[in-house]
Amino acid sequence: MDTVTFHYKSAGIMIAINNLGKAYNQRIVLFIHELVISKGEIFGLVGNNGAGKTTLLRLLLDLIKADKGSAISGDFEIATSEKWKDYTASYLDEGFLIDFLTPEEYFHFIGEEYGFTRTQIDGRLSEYKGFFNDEILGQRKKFIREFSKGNKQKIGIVSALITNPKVIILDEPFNSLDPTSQILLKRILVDYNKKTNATIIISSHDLNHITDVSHRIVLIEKGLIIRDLQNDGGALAELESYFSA
Amino acid sequence: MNLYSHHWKSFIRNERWRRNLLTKILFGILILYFIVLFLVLGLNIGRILRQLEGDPVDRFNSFLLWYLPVDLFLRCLFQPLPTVEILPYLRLPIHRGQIVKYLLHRSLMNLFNLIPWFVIIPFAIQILLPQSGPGIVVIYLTVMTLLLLFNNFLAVLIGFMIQKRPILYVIPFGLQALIISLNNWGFPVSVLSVSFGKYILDANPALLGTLLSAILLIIYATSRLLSRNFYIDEIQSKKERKNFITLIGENQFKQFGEIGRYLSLEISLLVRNKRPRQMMVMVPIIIIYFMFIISNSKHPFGPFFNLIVVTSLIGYGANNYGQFIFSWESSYFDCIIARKNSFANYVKAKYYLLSALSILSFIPLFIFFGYMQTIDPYLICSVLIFILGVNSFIILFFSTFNDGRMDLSRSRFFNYQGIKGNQFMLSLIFIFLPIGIFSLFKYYFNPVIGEIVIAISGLIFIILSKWWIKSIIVPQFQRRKYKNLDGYRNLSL
Repeated sequence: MDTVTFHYKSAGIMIAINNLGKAYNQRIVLFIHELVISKGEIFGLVGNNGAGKTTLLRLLLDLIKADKGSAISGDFEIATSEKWKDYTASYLDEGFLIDFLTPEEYFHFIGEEYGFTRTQIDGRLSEYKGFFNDEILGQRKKFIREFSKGNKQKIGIVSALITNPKVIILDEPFNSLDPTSQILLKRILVDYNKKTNATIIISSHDLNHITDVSHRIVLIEKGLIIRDLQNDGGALAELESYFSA
Repeated sequence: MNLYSHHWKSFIRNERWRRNLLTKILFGILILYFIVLFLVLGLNIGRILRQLEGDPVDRFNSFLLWYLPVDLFLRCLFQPLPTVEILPYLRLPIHRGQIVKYLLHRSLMNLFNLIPWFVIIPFAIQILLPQSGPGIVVIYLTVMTLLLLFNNFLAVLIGFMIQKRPILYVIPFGLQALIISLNNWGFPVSVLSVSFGKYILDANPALLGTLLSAILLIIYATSRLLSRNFYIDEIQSKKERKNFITLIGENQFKQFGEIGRYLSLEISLLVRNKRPRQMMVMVPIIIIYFMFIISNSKHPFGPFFNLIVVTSLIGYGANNYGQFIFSWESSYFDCIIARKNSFANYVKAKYYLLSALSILSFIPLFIFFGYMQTIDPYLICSVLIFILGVNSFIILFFSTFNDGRMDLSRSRFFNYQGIKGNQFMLSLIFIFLPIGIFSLFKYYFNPVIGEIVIAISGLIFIILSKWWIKSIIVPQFQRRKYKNLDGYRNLSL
């Protein structure tokens, strides 16, 4: 492990994946020989259902155990250290919401985990007023479980953004959002990246959205990386032709 | 109908059930035990009744009014409610009546409807047939069937009502307490029971009619109740009485820092979700019920019985909460694991809550038994210390093996997650470990030594709690982490 860490350490690398493999019942669902994500990169992950997108994101969060290989975040191996959690925030699915809390209680809980005060959190929340569209904050008696799917999605995404992370991992963030919110979310992600130089990893089925925000797009299919594209104009066309074939 | 086969499939395809062979075996043994018990009783019923004084038929009937309320009581607590995941069926052309009918049919398949016959039928053949002839036997068996059906459907109705309002648990307990008080206040139940039996044997059509219409009435009420719950917003139960449950919010334990934050999260979990709320409501009801029974009984119970009651009641709340630790938060556990936190403090918050539950149960019991003077108050204190130390450790250790998903936002109304046989075994350990140690030292030395030994072993575990949480529970959880997380994500109940 040490050699790998050393190799990537000084090169502006945020996340390095080496021979990472996961199998369920002898069926390989993910195998990534080598993948390096730079600091400050918005990294898009596309693929059909069952391609292994969520599996990869879960491995990056140490929620499932890799059968082989390793992933490194900064200076830390993800599976053995927990230090990377200090600067990593994520929202994969509704399983990340504590649904019997009110949105504010939830944001405060998450924020305090990272050492922010409630006033700081409230300040950060005010930046997302437009995104929330007055539907989420200030409802003292409405628990998260009573919100619609789209609003739950917003709560989850913002809960990842408010802790000033250096790495953000989002699974299908555009799902169940209305068109206005989708556009706002794209702007939020790009602005956050510009302002903080954070690494953002997102997966999506929607090729348009992903090409709108990402610097780089990786296409996986049946657990393998098929394409690794810099998003400089031709990516959308290439992806569309791949998926329509 | 498809519903029947779907139910069967959901049963055998249940992931946890498949994995948990031990549970299956334990349930099997338990069921077999009761069947054998009643079978042996039934085969010998003729001899037993003839040995007792008086007419054997009257003797048998004198137990009826004892058995039936107890049967109803046990059904209310243990008879599995017929459930079906109805959401997927609502959009299909299945008539609501069909689903209700299915649920009612399903409720008939349980042991409470089977086991009594192991005794009733031998009694009818061995005693009743030679004495009264086949006509009376047929009537007697018919009435018995109706009585059991009455209990069955009444228990279903009460069960569903309890699902909506957990406080209604007082119904079965209240009925039970009422029967016992009646007996003590000069209405001997056995005597009433004999005359009730005579009434049955008189073959009075009025009795049959009353029973039948009562059953139909209950079925009608149940169908009404169920049909009204066939709307999605009802299933998700949006109408909650918020004032009380939002009262206990995030500010409660602010001054205790990180542990306080986890503690208030845990308490919000318990009071804001239906499933754990149902469980917690039981704690005071059970404690009051046993106080009632003990203070109302004519013959004082022995010290050993008192010790069992005290031990199980002090630990009752903690055990109930503790046996589902980590499963409670299964629906959002990814969030806890993927974020920065101190897992030791997370566990410590649970340890404090376990302790608080035991202490809250201890206070009324200590006062009550201090007043009753049926058990040494020092012994009660030692038991509490033992539970706070050793039992908490055992609970937390075994909670790391909990890998079942539990859906908090749904009540048990249409869902039966979290049934596990080994948890039942664990409750027995909690009760009999302190009692066993105490009895051992009491037998070889004297009770005071016994009290001191259990108090000291509890104290050692309390003092070392910081250490064992950090060096045993947390590493043990880390070892099981991926397996548990996988189980929590598994939606197939």
